[in-house]
Amino acid sequence: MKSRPQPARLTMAARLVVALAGGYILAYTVTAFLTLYLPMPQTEAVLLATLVGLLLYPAAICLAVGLSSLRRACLWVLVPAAILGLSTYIPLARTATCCW
Amino acid sequence: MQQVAPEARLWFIRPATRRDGGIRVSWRTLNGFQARWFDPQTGDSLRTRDTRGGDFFYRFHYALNLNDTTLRELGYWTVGLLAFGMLVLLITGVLIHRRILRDLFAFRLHHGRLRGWLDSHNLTAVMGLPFHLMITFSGLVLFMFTYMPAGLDLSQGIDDRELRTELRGFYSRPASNRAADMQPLSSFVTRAREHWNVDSIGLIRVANPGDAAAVVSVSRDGTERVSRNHPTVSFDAVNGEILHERQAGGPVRRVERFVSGLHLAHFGGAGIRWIYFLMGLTGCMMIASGLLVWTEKRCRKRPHAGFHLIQSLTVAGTMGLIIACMVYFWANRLLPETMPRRADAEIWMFFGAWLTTAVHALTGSTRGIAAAGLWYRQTATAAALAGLLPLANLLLAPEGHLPASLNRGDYTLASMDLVLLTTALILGLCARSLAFRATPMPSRVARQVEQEISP
Repeated sequence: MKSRPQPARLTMAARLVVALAGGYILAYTVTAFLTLYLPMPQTEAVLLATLVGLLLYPAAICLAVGLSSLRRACLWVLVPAAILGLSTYIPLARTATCCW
Repeated sequence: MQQVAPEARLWFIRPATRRDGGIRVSWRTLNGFQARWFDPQTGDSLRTRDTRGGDFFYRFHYALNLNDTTLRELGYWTVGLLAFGMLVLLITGVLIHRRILRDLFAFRLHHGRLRGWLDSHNLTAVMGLPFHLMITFSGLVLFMFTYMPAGLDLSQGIDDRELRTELRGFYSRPASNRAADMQPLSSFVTRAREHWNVDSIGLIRVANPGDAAAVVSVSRDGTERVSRNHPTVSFDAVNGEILHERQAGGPVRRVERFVSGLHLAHFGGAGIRWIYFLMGLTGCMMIASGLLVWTEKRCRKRPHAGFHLIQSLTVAGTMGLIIACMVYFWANRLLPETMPRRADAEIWMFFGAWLTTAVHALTGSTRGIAAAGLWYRQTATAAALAGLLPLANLLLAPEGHLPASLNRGDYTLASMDLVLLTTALILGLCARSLAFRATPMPSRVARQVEQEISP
């Protein structure tokens, strides 16, 4: 099925939103995920995860702008962010409710 | 200290260094940091003009001079987003210049004006690339938890105190709100020296002075190594017992300290500072030349209403900024010493001058050779302000002018005047060639434009 051609400006704006906001969300969730699951002492894990997050944000921006279509950009940025976010915050929310 | 800043909750005392020769005392109040200098021999307060001096530029470069506690975050974030943008630009710049080796050795100064700018853009960008990547990323690392708080947020409450001490590097505990007499600070310094068996120490930090829970932390001299992981020992200020000693930490911690130490460049003395300065200049050159090529090409392709705005702001962002800095230095020398809120006045002069250059650029014309005229006027102003400043120092600063500082062997101070004179010389040469270009000579201009479009 062929999608209708989208106006170039709108696609570009959407791409920028995916890059700037989506890229940050990806970096943020990766940082949270690594903080929780890295097999090292707490302080080391926080630092390593944060350093990775700082590097990942600009990389994610380049990725989102560089991929050939808007759909791909969404796929590569938002889907990993959703998976990592859910796998980090759901277990946390569970432990929080059980402890109350 | 108790007399200088009784209300402060945090004191820092830094002993005199070879570079500045005074004891620097700073403290944090609700309105941000303040500092004063003391003579290491007599202990007298050094009478300085009310000024923020170079500290203004330092604070501006990461917080945009927003010192208010709530607005500060806005400053950090604005600078941080620009830094992320810079990283993205560096990556895309590398990607776009895949044939960089060929570009690097092609410096075509006489193939038309834009070619020269493009080649100088490539040259400075390649030369400075490792430095630019390092300084941008390490700057982000210094504020890593502001820009990427996910990890820290998750770790809250797990082992809070331990984590914060480990991350911030200074042992801290809440104030007890009961007054108590502290032991003299010199006793802690002596004990720290004996502890490490060294002569010099780097920094003394007193948290909650005069409180029963006051903490005195003494750090080792930070100029010995790149890494910011200075050994630090924290004492209970009242009973003198050792509360905490900073450990080197795990491998990630050591990497992080090393990277942020690279940014701060407390190591290596004047040599490293000069290298950083020159590398920073290649960065300015890269940005300015890229900007010029970009705006000129856009203009030729499709003259556009926004073009005037972009070109005016280019002038104000490059030359205007230099003018603003020079006006700041002039204000520092000329404003009367007794003036109330003098330091603020200097900063207002800086922003006022910058705004004036922007208004000047925006209200003028940038069409055709009028653009060269605009560049000429601001460049010539900057050159005059920079070149006359060392001369003004001859009259205004009997001990600080160039012959005096050279005579005394004070090269730190002398290099300020020397750099100003060099700047004035370069800007003067630029202004001369701009003046030539700004004079209407229809045949010459037509020929030049033809030449530039043809390749």
